[in-house]
Amino acid sequence: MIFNSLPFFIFIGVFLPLYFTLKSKARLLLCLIGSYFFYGWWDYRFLSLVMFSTLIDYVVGLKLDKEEKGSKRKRLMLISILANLGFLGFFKYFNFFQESFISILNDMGMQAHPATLKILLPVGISFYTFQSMSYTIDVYWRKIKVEKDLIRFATFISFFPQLVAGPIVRARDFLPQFQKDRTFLWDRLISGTGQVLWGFFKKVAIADSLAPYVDQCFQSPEGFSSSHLLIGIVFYSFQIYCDFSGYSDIAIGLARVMGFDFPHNFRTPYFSRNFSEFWQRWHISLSSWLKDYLYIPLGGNRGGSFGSVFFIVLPLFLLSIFWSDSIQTTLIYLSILVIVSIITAYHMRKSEANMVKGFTYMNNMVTMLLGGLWHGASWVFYFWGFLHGTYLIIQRFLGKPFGHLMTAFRFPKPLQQAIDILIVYFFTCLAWVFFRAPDFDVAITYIQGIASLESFTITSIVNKFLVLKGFILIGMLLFVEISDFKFNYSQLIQKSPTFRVMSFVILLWIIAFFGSFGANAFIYFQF
Amino acid sequence: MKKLTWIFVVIVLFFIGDRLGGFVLKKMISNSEFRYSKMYRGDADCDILFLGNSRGLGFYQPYIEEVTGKNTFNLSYNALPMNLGRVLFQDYLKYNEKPDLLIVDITMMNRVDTTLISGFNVYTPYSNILSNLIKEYSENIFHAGKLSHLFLYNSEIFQRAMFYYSSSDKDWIIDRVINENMISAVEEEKPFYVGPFDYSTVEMMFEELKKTVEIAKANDIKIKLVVSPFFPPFVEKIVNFEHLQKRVIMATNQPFYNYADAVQDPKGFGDYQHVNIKGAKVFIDKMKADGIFD
Repeated sequence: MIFNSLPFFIFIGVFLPLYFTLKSKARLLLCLIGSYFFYGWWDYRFLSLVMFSTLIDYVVGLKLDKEEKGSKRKRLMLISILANLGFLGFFKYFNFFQESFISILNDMGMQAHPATLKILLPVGISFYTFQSMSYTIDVYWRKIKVEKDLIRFATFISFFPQLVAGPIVRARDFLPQFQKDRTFLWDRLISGTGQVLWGFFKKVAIADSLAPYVDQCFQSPEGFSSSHLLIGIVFYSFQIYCDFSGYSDIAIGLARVMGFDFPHNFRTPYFSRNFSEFWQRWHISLSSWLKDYLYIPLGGNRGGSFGSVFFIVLPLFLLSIFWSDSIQTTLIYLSILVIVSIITAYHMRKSEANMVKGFTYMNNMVTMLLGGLWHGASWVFYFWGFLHGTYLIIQRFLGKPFGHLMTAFRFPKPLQQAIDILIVYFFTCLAWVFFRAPDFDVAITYIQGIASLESFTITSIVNKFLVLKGFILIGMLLFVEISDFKFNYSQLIQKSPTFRVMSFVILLWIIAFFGSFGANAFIYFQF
Repeated sequence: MKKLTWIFVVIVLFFIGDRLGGFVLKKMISNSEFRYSKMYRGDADCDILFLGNSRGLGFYQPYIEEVTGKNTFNLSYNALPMNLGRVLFQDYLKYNEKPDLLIVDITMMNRVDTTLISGFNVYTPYSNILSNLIKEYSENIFHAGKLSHLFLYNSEIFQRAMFYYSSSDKDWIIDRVINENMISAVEEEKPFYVGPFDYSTVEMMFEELKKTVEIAKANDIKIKLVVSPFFPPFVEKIVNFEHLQKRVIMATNQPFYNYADAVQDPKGFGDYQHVNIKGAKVFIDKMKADGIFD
């Protein structure tokens, strides 16, 4: 079931009144049944996966709580991680690894035709698996208390507003909220509904309106002018932002109406002035998950191990084989890889400080590479992660993008900030090309298409009406986001009834007038 | 109770604004110079009427009027399918004087674009047959248009009607030249089928073409079926001209005039399927020489 569909409106219309009528245990049970119904509407067979994942982590949690011996505790945690990653690996990455393996064998002249499995990706598996794993790891680290109530734990894993596309809420933030009995509060209804409406505006009016133009661009980029393709990638940057943050807004808003507080998942990411800021503003729940459960355990910015090199060099080695079309180019890519590795190792051995720096870069890179792969089983996602890892490393070198250049030119501060924002946005868009393209060939054709500057004119843009509509909607979004810095609309909605009524009515008018009502699925469902 | 009031106020204000906005937009649509607005207000009398999809916009009206001395009107639109074309032709006859000649580019039978059909929601206040067609293809959109009048104007058709609010769109034609990447990629194109290629719509498309021909004949309007030009190397990818000719004759008792290879200069095309103004003039000259406009 997706939020922007008629079945969901019927579901929520029945669910919410029942939810507030029932109390304590009965309400919790309703929440669980409702969540399973919501998920099962898409494909009831995969409900067993959610339930199995829930049961494993519930049982492991209980055992971890009783067990005092370090080695046994570690073993228990590994069981949970292996089970969760096993499901994820099988359903999400099996085809990818199999195809990659066959491709490498074929490239090496060995013909391999093993039977292929057509595996359907269960919606939301990456989200609930991470949420579930974070619980076990936190219990292992003794950061949280174990949850003994199975119904409560199962509801925490399957809570329908955020089950299929996040935000990934930590057990330490979410489980304690189940302790209190929720009562209906008007303030929550108002602010929650406001956020839900804003989410629908982003998804239905902006993301779905931009989608046809973007799809056309990436289907056959060779057929379009550079100006058309440039607009295509700008539109994609806003499509994915509005699609995903729209979902998060609806999820957070619904949860708020139901009495739960979720943290922000996006905070105007395209206003970031450097790449680390971007990752503090984009998909915050995943970034912070990766930081807490991957980057810091790897050593963070204080050290690390050479084992990390495995995650960087081996996939890059494979990538260079896929990407090249001849032995010569493979050798060139491999040579570059070897030279960079040798230079890095040489500098790291020079001093302790360099060693720490080197490990920090490696940890950054590993986190971004795995973050890229989390999004999808494809080399383009891996490369997207590689680009972002590279940006972060270069940024650590320079302080901030072109920081020295800015100081040299002595730009006024607002101009300097605007340039920083544009630089970050430019490189983010460059990475989006790989994220959106179905394969490397399309991504390269796309970038070449823009860089050629062939027919860089307004007249060469196909479907100018869609472009006009797109820019009007993006303009509205930016206007609200920029003015929100000054006015803080969420507070205004609470305080001023006139503002609240007018903003709700205007949003509804805009959604009716600009919305695309084809019940398009959210982009992040595929992840 | 007081807290419930604001929800009530939101709903009431939404509908007041929605109806008011819908009323203003309807007025604006009916005053536009966009082709369908002109048609529905009965301001589109002509001698020669054209019908087609985006390829039908190659019937470049200013040049045709220049070489024939006759008035023209074009009902073509991007991805316009045959069933919607038939409805628009019927509505044209309802609101305007009948033309002497109807020229149809039969490649409009290619596909059904549901989004486009529902986009014509804008003109449902003027046409029951159009309403029925939209209801048939997207019942939800039809009912949503009844619930929210602003939603009726949520389409590219409305945006175009506003763009052409005070200037005519009769001279619109692709103004670009096919790029080198496309020219070099033509060899990789798959075989192309002119006419309906989606099995689920084949019979409907021929039935709609037949109806269009019958309506024209019943109104004493001459009708000519044509296939307008394709990019020359792309013509070689088209595999079903013979079969299409048989089916068209079977359905309508009329042959079609094949101008698929009428324009040989690559600079006369915007892409594989659309002539630009240069190509359109060559195409029109050939049609004139063949007596299509007579």
